[in-house]
Amino acid sequence: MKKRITLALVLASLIPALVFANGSKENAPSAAASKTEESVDYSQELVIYTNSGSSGRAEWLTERAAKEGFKLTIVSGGAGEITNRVLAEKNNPVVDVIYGLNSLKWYQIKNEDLLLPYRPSWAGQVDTSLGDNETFFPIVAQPLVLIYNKDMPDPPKKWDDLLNPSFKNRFTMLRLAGGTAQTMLAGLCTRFRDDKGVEGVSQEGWDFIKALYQNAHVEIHGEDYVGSLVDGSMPVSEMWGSGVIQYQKERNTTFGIVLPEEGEPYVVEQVGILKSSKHPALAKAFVDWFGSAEIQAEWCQKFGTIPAQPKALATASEDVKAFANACKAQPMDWTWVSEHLDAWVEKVELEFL
Amino acid sequence: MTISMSKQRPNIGSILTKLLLAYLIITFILFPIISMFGIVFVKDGHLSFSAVRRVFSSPKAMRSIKNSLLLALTMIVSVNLSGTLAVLIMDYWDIKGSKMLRLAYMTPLIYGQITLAMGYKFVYGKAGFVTNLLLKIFPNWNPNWFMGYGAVAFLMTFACTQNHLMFLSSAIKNIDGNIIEAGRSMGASGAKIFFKIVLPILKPSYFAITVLTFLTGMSALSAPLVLGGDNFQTINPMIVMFAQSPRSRDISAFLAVLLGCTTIILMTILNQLEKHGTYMSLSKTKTKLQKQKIQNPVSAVIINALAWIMFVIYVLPIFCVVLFSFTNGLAVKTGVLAKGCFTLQNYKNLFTKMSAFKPYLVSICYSLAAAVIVSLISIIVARIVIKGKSRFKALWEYSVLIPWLLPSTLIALSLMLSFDVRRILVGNRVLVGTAVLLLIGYVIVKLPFSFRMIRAAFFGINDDMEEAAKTMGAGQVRIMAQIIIPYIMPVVSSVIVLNFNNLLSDYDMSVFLYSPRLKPLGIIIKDATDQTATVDAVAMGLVYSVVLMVISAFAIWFSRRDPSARRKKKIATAVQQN
Amino acid sequence: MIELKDIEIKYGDFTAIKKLNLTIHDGEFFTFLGPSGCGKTTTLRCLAGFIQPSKGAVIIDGKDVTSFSAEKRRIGMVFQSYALFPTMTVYENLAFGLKVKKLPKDVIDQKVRKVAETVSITPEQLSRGVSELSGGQQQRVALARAIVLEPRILCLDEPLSNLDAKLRVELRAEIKALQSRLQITTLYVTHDQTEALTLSDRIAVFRNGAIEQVGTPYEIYNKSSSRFVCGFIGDINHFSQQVVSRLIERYHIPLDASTDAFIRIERMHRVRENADGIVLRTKVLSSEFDGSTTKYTLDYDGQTIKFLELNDGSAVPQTGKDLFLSFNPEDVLQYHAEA
Repeated sequence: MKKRITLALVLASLIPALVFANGSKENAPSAAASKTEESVDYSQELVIYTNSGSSGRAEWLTERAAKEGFKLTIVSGGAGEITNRVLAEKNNPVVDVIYGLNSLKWYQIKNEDLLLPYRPSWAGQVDTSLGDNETFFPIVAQPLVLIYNKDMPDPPKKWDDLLNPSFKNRFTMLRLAGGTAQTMLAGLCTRFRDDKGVEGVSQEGWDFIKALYQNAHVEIHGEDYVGSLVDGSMPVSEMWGSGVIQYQKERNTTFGIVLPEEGEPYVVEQVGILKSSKHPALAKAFVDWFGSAEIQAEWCQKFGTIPAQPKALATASEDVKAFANACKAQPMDWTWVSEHLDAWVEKVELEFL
Repeated sequence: MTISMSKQRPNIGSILTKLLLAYLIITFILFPIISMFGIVFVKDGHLSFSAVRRVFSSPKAMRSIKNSLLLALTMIVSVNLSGTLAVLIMDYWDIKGSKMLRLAYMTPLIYGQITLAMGYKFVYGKAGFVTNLLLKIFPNWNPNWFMGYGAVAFLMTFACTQNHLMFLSSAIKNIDGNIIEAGRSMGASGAKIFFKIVLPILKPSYFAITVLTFLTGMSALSAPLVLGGDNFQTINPMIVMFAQSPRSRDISAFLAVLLGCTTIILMTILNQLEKHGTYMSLSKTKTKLQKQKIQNPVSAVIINALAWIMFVIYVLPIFCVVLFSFTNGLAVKTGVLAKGCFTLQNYKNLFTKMSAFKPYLVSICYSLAAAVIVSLISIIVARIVIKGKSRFKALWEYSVLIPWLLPSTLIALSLMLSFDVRRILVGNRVLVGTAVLLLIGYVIVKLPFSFRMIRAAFFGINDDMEEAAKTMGAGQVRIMAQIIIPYIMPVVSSVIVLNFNNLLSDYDMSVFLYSPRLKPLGIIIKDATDQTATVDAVAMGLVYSVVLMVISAFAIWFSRRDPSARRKKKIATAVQQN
Repeated sequence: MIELKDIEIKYGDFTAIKKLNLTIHDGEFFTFLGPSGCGKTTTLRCLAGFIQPSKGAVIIDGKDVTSFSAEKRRIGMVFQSYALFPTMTVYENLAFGLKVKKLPKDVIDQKVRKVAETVSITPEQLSRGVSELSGGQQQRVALARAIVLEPRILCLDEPLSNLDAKLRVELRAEIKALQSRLQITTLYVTHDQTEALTLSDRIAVFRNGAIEQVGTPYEIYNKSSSRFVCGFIGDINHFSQQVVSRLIERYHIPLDASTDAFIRIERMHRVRENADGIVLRTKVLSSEFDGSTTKYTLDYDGQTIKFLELNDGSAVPQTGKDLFLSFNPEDVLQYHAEA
């Protein structure tokens, strides 16, 4: 018994020791960052945060990068979680490079002045207007769409159709805790932008959104809503781009896609470097490599993403290309959206559900 | 001349201990919570209570509050019933097959809420086999029947009996067998003995457990999320969601305050009730409680039937979780066992990849360290509270109980918001991003429960024992380490194991506080059940959970095996050798 | 030598001990006797260092130890509840204090075995858990644990009250034998007058937080200094003031007619009806014959009195029969009204 207690105590005291060893790192002067020596030291480790690391992506990237000599520690989590973490850690930064997220989150991080301006070697090949053309640059662009079961007799053609009583409880809106639902809500709000309205959205817009949500089934955590779509019990759903590709493969089916005239909101995943990075040269080398057409093509083939690199997209499988070509980006003012999104989400959550 | 030189010297060790404790409580409990409320409710330099208006004008928020209350109140009755029944079947009545029943009833100690909710869905969900069975009998049965209040309450009723299993069960085993024999000799029936003698003795245990159950109900997260459906969403998922968004944090904090208030009200009521009639053991010499034969044949049939129905309720979800961990991801996600869906690939993935092991190691270390530290703190505070003569002892008690009033999400948030800049209190460091912050969070969130349970154990200690040790020259530290802690060890080890198992798969707290390099298991499992998770990840999540259950089961076995037998043997041989 | 000087102990407003003075000699077996709540245990705990007096001093061997904590006073303590450590074996219980002193292992072992033998604990019992022992054995362990450290003073707080009558007598003798062998100053707290009388060199009788009388068992019994003491110790007959006046009138005995009187029940003796001197005519109400003695309950002039007679072979009168008693006036105790 005594031994057991002692053992536990030793274990318990080890952890703080570990921490303070860690903690000393934050004392590294920020001057190191400004002194950008261009020699790349591959023996250093890069810490990378991403919301696009699940489903084996993080493992694949770690292994693939190791072949090029990069040592990576990838931390993945939800988009909101990763952003909160970067913001919370601003006084004790751990991370060197971020990839993934969406423009909204990138602007949030940029507003805190945490990003290092750097133009990657491949910047000329992509549509830099998708990013800010200064600190973060696009790698993956995926549309967010409404998909439906192709067997349904009366598929919706635009959002407005879903307000129809015949669609009552026949379509799934994703939970607003997730990024997809939030961005799609931003798309709807963009349609009804009115700077005199409540939170920048016209009354007509709010009536529309309220009617939409009250007609909808909101996703329940953990439910198999894709299954409900396939079996026809809930034949329409919101879906993110790579999800369309992935679930079609998994369920061995083809979804119908609603293509409204205003277009679809695009989530553009970007890559950028943190100002606080202790190995800026290494981080730059990694970004140059990761965003290159070659790696993005491999990434796309492996995980069905829709690359922002036109050269990489050219190598993608037919279904990805077909899907990408069918969609068209809805023009959105991300600065305006980032100012209001939290308020929109809160309003829908509190008042419409 | 030897004139007394000093009045009873103040004990430096004890003063230092108190100072250290006060520092820890102020720095890691009071300061973060107060500063969080400051950040949340002060906008542009003045107090803003717009959250109050926003919450009270929101139909969803009002529904959620009502639902949470309804669930918590339901659970006070239903969990006490199911927990009592389970404990009686295991420890009080003489029932055939009680060993097997025990195994089933103990399962709430080993699974996390997320896993369990999945298990229930496999059984009662759209494609679950109970649902299929019902559909065969009643073709018009709604396949989504297992949703809403009933489903959530059902799951919680059977899943939240941990405290009964640990504490009520030991209270029953401690009852003096003579008391029951005395009752019988006076001609009382089994039922009369139970209701008039046994239950009143257990009253203090029930008070403590009822508070815990109510708290569990108020802060339920996974079960309402997964099984609540459109009509039975509760308050805590809202708190968690709004806590993520800086703009809506005040709503989250205000909801938490409401939750805290209901808890205070309940605790006040129970404390009042507890004052009238606490029971102290009078027995100098106890005899072991014999299992009771159920005399009335009708009761015997009913109780046996109940026992085995509960067995099925407990076993089915676990069985399904284990079964589905051997299937491919699509089967897990849809809940349908198709042909050829069975595979060992998931386990192969786990056991061949080093990276898959790391989260286990991280979570085991964190949980064990936190469980031990929190017990040590609880022991020290309990001692101060019980032995102390100072007027401040109530202050100690309330300080460590504060974290009960806030859901763990908000405690995590308060730590994150308070230690993201250099703070003099912690040696001018930034704690966010370091590994220690999660440990601190774990300790804080488990402190009230541990303290409550350990304080109760202290009441059984005989003062004479301590004085005897003192006359033999033992100092405070030795008395604690060799007399008091061994004496309360059964309770302490129960507390450690419960905390350990609970923290192993923690998500709420970890998601805010984990250090990037040390990712705990809860995060991995949650990632696997996330929206965007691929089917493979879903299957892996289940595998992680199953292995987790095995670890938890091992922890329980480890704490429950009889250490005295081994120790005695050791001493006996030592004695003979000399 | 132990001296308690002007000790006063207060719990809030309640004064548990009032101005207590006491001297206990080396090697003495000293007993605190009194009914429950009289302050005897409080005094013992104050002496042992568990309670701080609000006033006064505790002096051991000329040294003021009032501010010393218990462990510095070299006291061995046996508790009413035994206070054995339930999580340890007998061996561990006995070795506990020795380990605190950091003695070498073989010395500890030797001492534990020796003390175990002293109190008749078998080597086999040493490895048992204390809760597996019978009450008597537990008491022996508690005693052994108190003396293994060779204390300056041995304190026993109602050590026998949890045992059955036969064991109590047996252990009483063992404690006495042990004490006289070790010659250790021993303080013994009890409410049982027989224990006090049989064991002690001297006794202090406590009442309401103060000492009524200190003396040898002989003095306490035969020369009780107060009504309380003579009533608390042994059986005694009480004659009201009227009875006393009548006796004085009739027999001209040198007693004080202004107050009542007491006489021990065995100090009366049976006489013939027509004997000289004092003859009380009583009627037998009941009698208990236990072989060596007979204890009568009698009616004398409307008062119930008792009489203890050694069995000398004479017949035991039946209930309702007359019995004639006499006594020596010197054996009568009288006290004036107390404050």
